[in-house]
Amino acid sequence: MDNRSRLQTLFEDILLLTDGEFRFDLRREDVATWDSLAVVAIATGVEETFGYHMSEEEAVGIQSVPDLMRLLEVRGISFAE
Amino acid sequence: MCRISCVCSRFEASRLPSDQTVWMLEELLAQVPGAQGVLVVTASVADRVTGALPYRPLRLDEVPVGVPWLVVAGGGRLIDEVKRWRVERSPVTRIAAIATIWGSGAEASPIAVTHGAAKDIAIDPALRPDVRVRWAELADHIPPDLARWACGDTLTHATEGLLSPLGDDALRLELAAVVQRMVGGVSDPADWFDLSAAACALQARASVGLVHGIAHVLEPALWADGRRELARHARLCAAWLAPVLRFNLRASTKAQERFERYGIAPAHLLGTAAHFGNPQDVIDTTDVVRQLWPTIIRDRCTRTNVALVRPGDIDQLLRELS
Repeated sequence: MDNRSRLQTLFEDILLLTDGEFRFDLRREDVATWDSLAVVAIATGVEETFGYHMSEEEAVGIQSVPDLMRLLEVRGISFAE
Repeated sequence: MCRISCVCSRFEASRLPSDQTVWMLEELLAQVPGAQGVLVVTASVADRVTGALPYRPLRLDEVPVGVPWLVVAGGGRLIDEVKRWRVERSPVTRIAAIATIWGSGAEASPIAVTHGAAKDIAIDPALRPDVRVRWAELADHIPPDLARWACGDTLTHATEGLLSPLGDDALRLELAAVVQRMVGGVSDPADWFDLSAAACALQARASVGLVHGIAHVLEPALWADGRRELARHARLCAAWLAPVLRFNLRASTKAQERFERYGIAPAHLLGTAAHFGNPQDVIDTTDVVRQLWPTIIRDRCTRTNVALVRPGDIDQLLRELS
């Protein structure tokens, strides 16, 4: 499984998305389940999946899937197709 | 009484990491004259408590708004009702809480749980009782199984608080000390009351995890299904703590790292957890856990578990039962 697939599965599992609901341009305001507890779960899931421990400020600052991809790409985790 | 060998010296109340006032029974009697307080007491200890305290016993719905002191003696559910009553009806009233069993930590925490079709959890500093009164002899009447499950509830609060992603290093150090004390062995009920109060007050500053997510979802479901003996919070926490710990250790390196950092041996913790719970209770509730898994993973406690809990994780969790 590549990093894009891992990221998609992570968001589908945390936000409880059904098939077709995930998009790589998804924003926090697009999804009702992306609440403050989902922020905690995303931080937990990113560490489990990609091995990167987000700071509290970074976790709270993630407002979209592209935000997270940019954060991780700076740390050498590529999402290139 | 808990059937655990005591291998450590007695936990010192003065070391409890809480700024809550703690009184012995004599101090309550000295500080709160009979005319200043009323008493709300649970039925199981009513004779003993009303015989020892000078306060007028009332049902909660009879307590006059504005009474200076409300002394409550009971389990977590009654104490939580009193806490809510104070916040909603009589903010000037001071509460002295006497726990008759450990586990919930309601006498020390700013949390109140409402029991309905689903459990609702309120967190507010104003909910915390002003004074916790130590009267450990009230635990003499507790049946051994209830005491053992209450120990499991206490250990669950401390362990899930320690593992919570919402805690910080200072908080985890305090919770680790509580866990280590419990794993080391505790036999004196007075110590269990103190440990329970500490565990609950501390975890309220972080969060709990999957064990509580399972318990909160199963309690109303089992109750509605007529399986009321199984629908006890402490019993469910005690039963599911060991399997969930094994799940967490397998699903994420974070739990193992945290135990290592704070000097806790997972094998000892698992052994203690297994001692407190009934393995058969896990087997008897597996069907409900599987059926309600979509609700369990949405529970706010589950969502702050140390390991991410995913829709497909139910099979992995159930594999940890063997």
